[in-house]
Amino acid sequence: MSKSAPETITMGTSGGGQWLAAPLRIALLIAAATVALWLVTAGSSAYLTTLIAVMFINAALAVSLTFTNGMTGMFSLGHPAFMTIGAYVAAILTFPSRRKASMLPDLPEFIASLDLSLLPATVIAGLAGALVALLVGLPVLRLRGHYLAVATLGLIVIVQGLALNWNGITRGGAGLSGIPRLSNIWWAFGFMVLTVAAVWRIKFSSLGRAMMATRENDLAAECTGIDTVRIRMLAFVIGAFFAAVAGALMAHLISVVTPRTYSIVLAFNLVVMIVIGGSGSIVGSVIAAFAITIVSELLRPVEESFGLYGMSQVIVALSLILVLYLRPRGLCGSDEPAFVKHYLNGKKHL
Amino acid sequence: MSQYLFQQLINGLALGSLYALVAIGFSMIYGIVRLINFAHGDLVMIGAFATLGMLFYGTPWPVTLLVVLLVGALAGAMIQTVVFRPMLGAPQVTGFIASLAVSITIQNSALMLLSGQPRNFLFPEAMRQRVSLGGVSASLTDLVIIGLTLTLIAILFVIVYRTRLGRAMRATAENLMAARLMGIGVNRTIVAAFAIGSALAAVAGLFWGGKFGQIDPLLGSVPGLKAFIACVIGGVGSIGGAMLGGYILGLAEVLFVGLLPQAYAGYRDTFVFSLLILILLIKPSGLFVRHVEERA
Amino acid sequence: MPDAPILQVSELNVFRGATHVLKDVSFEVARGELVALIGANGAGKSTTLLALSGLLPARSGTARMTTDEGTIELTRASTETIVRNGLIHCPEGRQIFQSLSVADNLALGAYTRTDKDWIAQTTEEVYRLFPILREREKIPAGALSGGEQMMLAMGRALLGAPKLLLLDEPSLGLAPKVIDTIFDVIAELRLRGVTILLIEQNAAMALEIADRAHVMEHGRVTLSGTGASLMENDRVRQAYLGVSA
Repeated sequence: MSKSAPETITMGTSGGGQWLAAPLRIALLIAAATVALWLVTAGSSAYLTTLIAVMFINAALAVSLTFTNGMTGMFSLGHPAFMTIGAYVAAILTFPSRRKASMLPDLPEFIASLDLSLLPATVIAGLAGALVALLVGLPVLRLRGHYLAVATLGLIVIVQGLALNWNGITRGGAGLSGIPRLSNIWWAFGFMVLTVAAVWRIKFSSLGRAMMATRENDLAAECTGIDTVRIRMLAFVIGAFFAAVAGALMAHLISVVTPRTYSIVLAFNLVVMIVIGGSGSIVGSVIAAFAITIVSELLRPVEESFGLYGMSQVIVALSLILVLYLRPRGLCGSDEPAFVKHYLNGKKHL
Repeated sequence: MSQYLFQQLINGLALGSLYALVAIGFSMIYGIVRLINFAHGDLVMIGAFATLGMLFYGTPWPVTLLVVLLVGALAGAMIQTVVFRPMLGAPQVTGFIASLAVSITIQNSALMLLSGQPRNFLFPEAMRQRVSLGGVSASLTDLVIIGLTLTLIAILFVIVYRTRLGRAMRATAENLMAARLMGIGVNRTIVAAFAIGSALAAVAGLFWGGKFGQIDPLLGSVPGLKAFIACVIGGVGSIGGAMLGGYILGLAEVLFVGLLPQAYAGYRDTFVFSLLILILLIKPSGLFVRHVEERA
Repeated sequence: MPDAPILQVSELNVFRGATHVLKDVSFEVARGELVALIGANGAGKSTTLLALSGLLPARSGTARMTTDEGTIELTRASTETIVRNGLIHCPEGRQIFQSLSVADNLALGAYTRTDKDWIAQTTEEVYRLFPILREREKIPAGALSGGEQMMLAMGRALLGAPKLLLLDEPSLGLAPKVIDTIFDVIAELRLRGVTILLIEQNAAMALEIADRAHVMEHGRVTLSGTGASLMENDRVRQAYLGVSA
């Protein structure tokens, strides 16, 4: 249908067929992916299923970081901090209340008696991350470029320090273990689809254009009436929300979180993903996140058999330097591949 | 009372010396190429392991110091030539990301070569004794750290403000194009700045082991970040500011730990980084810089 | 080859990014001459000088400097070598080192010189030409007035022992009295046999002191001649001297 009547579409408003077709095409894509995923999980080991779930969560993380950084031109490294916050908050909420009393004595009564299921716990975790981002963002977002980068690295250290020392609520360095395994590959898949959809919608909306205007030229954006401070804050807070949700899902997938689970190295790996994918590109981030998760996992047995722990990190770091030399704008630049845009948005964006 | 305070003061000055040594190089590198070199802290680790190796062979101290300076200078020059030179002129964030990659590469290569097992690191008996001075005493290690650091900083000031190389470095830092037009070999000058700054960080590594007794391949991250904080306190890009910032940070940390109840000692780094965010908020150009740098 | 032109530029093409800025630019400067480049903003004058001092790469063409010491290919040599061989470029906007003292700035001008006596003697001479600089020796150069900064930039260039001096807009943004001082010095340098390639917005002043001049338009040399003959040229008079036909 869309092939037969592209001429009738003018200015993107009268193309009724397109408006109907785009959601249908998206639904078709998700359905196909779901079937494929179902076939894969049906015949594979728990290890592979978990790996794929981690891959999805990483992709969601990369997309949310490219939303915060790539689309507004900020350079935040704070994702691991928000993940840690999300993981602890959600884990504390879903932990069986009978065990909470003895393990986490300093919890306020109304939290200690809670037995939440994963969905509300995750949403609350996301909101907690967003709230912290809002509070931290007020001073920190006034900083530009690498100042912001180091300040957000500092945030990681601050959050780690709190998690490490606030024994009555976090169990200190040992972390929380035995977190109920409520999350699984479907949660991870759903979360990734949701993140991509949300970021995609924003990118191709007026808010997205305002974000990209802020990235290209602060002053010019201000002059056209864009409140760049608000835009930055919004990007930071929304990114933090997704990061906190990812932390929560990850904790309920691998059933443990410690103060060092989400560290500076993770911040670096996320940066690698968005630089290789092309800063600001959703499709690029997803591809790069998949690729790097898989490559790191493939290298693990090599590391273990030769005792060369750290080798995969070295390879990831060196490939990043190579990309910076040879293709500094990454796989996709800040744009999306044309055929994907065509498929998801219809013709009006071509 | 006075003994306690004196000891805290010496302790803070020794810690501050370490931070100052790292921060000065960090600041020099930022000053000359506008690069936040996240890998700078890893030179501390390289210096610490170089020292450990030489302690193993019983090399005399002056030789050890010289070798550590040299190892640091070579490592810094190499990192600049191989990684950062091709990126000269790229956006600042690109350089920062590359420096993250360098840091990860150095740390994980060290993990592969040396394993993650922390190693004990002990200065010889003679350096670990305490010396008394009119009723108060201090550890000789701390006094040596403070004395050597101040000497090295004095030499650095002579190089930067009294020599042809120093003048070329200051010119390059201020205006790369004009420096080229003076016939300055700016690539050589930039390498020299990296080498000198990295040598100082490596010496901090020598002291680091002596002060904390243990070293491991990942020890560089914290001094790297704290050097940045010291620079922010003193004003990024200024050598004197970085030195002062390092000492202020060292003293503040020791006071924080020394004056508050023991239960809060674990929050030391949390405190330091909160301090960073606070200073960035109040006075982003640093406490000692009067005018805001245009290109920052 | 004492009679070879000190500077020979032929078919020079330079790009800045994707923009083709210099298109087959060719001209010569003879030893001891003062040659002016005039033209509108964006015609490619500054780009020409930047290419000659090796700060911008040439896509094609040659630029050759011949002195008693030999010939160097300016499009292939490093800026360091070029400066060492006596091509001194006093860039647009002066580009002095603001945070360094006046004395440091002058010392940097002599960075490639090794003869200490010569440096001391020439510094004295710069102070004689611009006495104000001696008074401000210890002051950060950024604290000087615009005119004083221009004098410093000229003095700094002289300490490089120029055989060929490139001057980019020395009068830009200066008071008329200061401009006179600067042009007096340019005239004196010329009398002493320093070869000068001068870019100037103020075409009248430039043509008055120039032996020869080239007009640049849209990246090409479109007109060449002696300073006097260009002053008579109708097109030049209309476009650059503000004289209606």
